[in-house]
Amino acid sequence: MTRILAVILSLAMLAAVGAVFLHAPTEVQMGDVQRIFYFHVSSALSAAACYFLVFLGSVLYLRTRKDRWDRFAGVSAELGVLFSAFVLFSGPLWARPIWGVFWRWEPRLTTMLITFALYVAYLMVRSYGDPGERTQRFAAVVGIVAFVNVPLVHYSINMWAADQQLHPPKVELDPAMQQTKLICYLAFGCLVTLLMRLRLNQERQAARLQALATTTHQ
Amino acid sequence: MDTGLTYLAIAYGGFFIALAGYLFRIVRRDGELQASVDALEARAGDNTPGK
Repeated sequence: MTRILAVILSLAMLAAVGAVFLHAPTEVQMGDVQRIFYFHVSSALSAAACYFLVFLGSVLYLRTRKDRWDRFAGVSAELGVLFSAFVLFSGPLWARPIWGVFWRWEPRLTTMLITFALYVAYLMVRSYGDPGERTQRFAAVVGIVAFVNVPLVHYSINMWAADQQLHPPKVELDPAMQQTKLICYLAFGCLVTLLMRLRLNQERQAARLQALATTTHQ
Repeated sequence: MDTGLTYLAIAYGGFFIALAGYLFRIVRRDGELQASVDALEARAGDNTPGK
């Protein structure tokens, strides 16, 4: 199954890169740098989806106290941070030639950075806390509370005054650009699924190994 | 070279480098897990009665 997913992902990524550079037309005002948009937005969407999975995993862990939900939340947070890091990396690269600065403390950028920091903190709680139910419970609470910030990133454009915004409230896309965006969404969907699968399998194996090692020691 | 193209190249290059790095990390962790399994099997072999 993982191999099939890897093949599908490779094809989807090739199609996405091909669409970004060959199919999508060059934006008239911004030029070629606008092509960052496709992976930037797909990454942001993937990060939001992963953070929702952290929320879901955390709620289910608190309800059932099953370790698999804790692992599910942990792996989702790791991927969410990875995709958010790319958003925070590619955004300034796109902003520099268009806005003239790499960074501006405007609502969407600021809320995105706060969200990223919260999930880094979540991963730190998991890493530095003593292994056991107490840390898992605490991490689950952080995972639920941190999710409050995710819709805030999306709605930050409407919640703060228009004169403080740099992100446009609505983006009109040419049909070819729209198709490219959808191909990228599909490729990123495959990427998230494959990475989740790989990391969840790995964490499951690690947990089994840990249990086995404990039994052998006794 | 156009500045926009430079930033575009850095962004996409950065994405694929980060992805490769993350996949490398997964592979390395797989190696560590395998080494733990081997160590556990070796210890189990040592504890087998008659050895």
